[in-house]
Amino acid sequence: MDKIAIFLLGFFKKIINNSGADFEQVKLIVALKLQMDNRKTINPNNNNKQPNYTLLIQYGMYFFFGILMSAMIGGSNNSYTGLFVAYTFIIFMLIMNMIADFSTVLLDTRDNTIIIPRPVSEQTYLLSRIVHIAFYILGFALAFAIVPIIVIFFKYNALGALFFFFNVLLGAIFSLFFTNLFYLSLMKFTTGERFKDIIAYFQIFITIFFFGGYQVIIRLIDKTNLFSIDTSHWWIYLIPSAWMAGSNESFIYLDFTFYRIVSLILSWVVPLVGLWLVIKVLAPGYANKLVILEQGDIKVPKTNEKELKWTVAGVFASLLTRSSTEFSFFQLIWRIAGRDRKFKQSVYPVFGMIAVFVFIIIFNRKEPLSDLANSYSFLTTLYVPIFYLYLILKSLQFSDNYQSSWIYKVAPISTPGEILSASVKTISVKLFLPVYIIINGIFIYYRGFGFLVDIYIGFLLSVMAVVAMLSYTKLHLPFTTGYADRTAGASKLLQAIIPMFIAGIMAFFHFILCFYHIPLVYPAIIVTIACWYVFKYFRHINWNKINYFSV
Amino acid sequence: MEPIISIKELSKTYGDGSSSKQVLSNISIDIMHGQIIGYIGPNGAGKSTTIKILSGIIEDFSGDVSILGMDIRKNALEIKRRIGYIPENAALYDVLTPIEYLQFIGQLYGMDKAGIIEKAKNLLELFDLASVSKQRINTFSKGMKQKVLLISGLIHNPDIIFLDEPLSGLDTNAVIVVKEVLRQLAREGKTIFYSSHIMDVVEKISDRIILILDGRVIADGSFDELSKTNNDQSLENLFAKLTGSEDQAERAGKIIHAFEQ
Repeated sequence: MDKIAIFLLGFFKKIINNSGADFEQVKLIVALKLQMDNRKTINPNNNNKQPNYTLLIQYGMYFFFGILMSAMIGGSNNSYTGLFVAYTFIIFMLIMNMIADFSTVLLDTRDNTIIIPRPVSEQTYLLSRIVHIAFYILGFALAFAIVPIIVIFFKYNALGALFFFFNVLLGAIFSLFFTNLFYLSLMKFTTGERFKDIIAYFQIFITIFFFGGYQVIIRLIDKTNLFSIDTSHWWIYLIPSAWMAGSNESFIYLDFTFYRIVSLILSWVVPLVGLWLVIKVLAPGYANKLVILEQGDIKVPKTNEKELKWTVAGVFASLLTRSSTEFSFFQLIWRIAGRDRKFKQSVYPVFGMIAVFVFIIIFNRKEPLSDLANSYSFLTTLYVPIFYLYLILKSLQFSDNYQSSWIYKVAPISTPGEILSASVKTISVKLFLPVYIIINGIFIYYRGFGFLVDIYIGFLLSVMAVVAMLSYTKLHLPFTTGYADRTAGASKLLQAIIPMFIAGIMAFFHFILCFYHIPLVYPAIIVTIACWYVFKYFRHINWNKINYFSV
Repeated sequence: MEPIISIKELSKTYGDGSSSKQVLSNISIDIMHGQIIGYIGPNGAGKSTTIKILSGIIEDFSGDVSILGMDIRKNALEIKRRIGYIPENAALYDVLTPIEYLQFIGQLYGMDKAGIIEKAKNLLELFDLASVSKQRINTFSKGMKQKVLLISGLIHNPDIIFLDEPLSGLDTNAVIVVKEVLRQLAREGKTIFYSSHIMDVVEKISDRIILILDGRVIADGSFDELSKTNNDQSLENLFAKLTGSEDQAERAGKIIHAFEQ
């Protein structure tokens, strides 16, 4: 598979050399990175020799999405509608996947001292990373395309199917170009320390931008009645999936209208020329920015100046922890979670996603906002954030300083469950609770202060659900795994599926309480007691249940 | 004679505005062909930053640096082809075997694939790593990784070699070998610029010692010159004196007292 990818790269030799990169070096670096990715799927440091199937599952997920979109293409009377929705969906999925899982590859500083001191130009360095990401992104796009190609072949013709294949690949290249354009522009136009400061927050912005953009485009279908779309709208030319759909139609009907010809040109020119320009124009300075990212922070956090007991962390640590071990790890995780840039980079995009999601639930309604008092929309905002908490806690095991985890083995800790419970408590209070209150706060206005009890029940149920889910996965202590051991392509999107299912069950439980008008005070008491027991169990988890980590 | 490395008023600041920290301040040094330079200073003095600037890793600095007669800002790639850099930490792709890693590095310098493997095998044998040449680097000890780093910095036969703490983690025999390798490379006309905390080694193999403190050069000369000027028989004492930490015994007493409290 890797060899085929490297062979295909050969077709772009001239373009790569023209962009200022060195083709032979790009080929060499990408081949090596893919070889390393393959070896990481079975981690030699890990006692668990089971191969990691995450990537395969992810290909499966895209294949499944392809089947869903085939139903859309096959079932719709209007070919344009089906194609437009399919292209919009795949471009959106790939962009979100890149932001959530592959931006760390682009911003990786681990090989700064391996590659940068060698005679490798910045264009080569950058392009090798983009091609490395492209290998996975194009793979996902192909997995997605398989079933729709068959459907288009039988419903329309072979040429239409062939161009669907090309267009999906172009869609993937467009996603690469567009995502990189954002990240690299930020790297180019911010200076030194400021770049370090804003990169984590930028992830929220970019997620909101793309996730919001997707929602806007999908809603355009309703508003313009796309089943008989008037392609004379000027804004149609701004939507990449509309170009793809238009160009695909030209080959389905072999009828080249003005709109379809423009679409055809845009769908080929923008991704390829765009990516070429990104490398040519935005690569200079790339390596330098990575070196800056690697350097430690100069700023001293203000909290250092205060007595710990008067800080927010100190107050919550005293209230929520039961032993000195739990107390110490509560503080440690609180501080690291607030300062470790890589951790923030990996967590914040999920926050962006949830912000848009909730915004849509609340504001994208036909009914007036005052109807929020009577609708069950609040169940979504109460329980969807479960996946946010779950993903943060899953990310907590990763750190560049994973070797510092020797402390867990040297310190006299008999029940590592105390570290795990400290992790859940810290993250729940520091990163989950504020988000939870903000997104549910609007319902207090419409439903009255009684809704605070709903929030209380929702919050505790969410935390308990996440503890239960974590208990059934491999338990990792915080900061014990290097980012290098994170398999390329391991997906946050995929990980979100199970928590969303659990969220559904929780929401249903809450719905029953509301539907039968059960006074919420009783469930609140029961949930509090249950939560106490869950944490009691969690705190007593012993070393046998902890995944091996090397120090 | 033209200096092979010329540093003029080199300054480097990390961070912006009020949170900035100056780590190098107007350093000017000329280094001649074939010299072994021992670059010493306390932790945080700016040694690694200087070496990273000279190796082309850090690009934003003020002042001028020219290497092999070329401006590092304008000819970074050409300079990188002719220098070797050995970093302080064992930054390696550790899921690879040493042969695979060295082959990759050699190819980045445009070396012939078969030639690199032969050269890598030979070097691994000379550094006592032949028996583990097919094992992944992540199974290696710190010293073994350091040896792989050393080979990777030298494999393309550079004219100038920058080493940041090259002896860290090496066993005694390996230290002796590396010392001798550096000496012989200098005899063959290579220029060596290295930082170290092992004063004994610096004293014995350096033609010239540059001591920096808080980003400024505070002493520069051969060991004989420095010891005469400062009336000290060992570099260790001289280092302590010049960096202002002479009362080590008194400080050690205070540390032990603090532990026992």
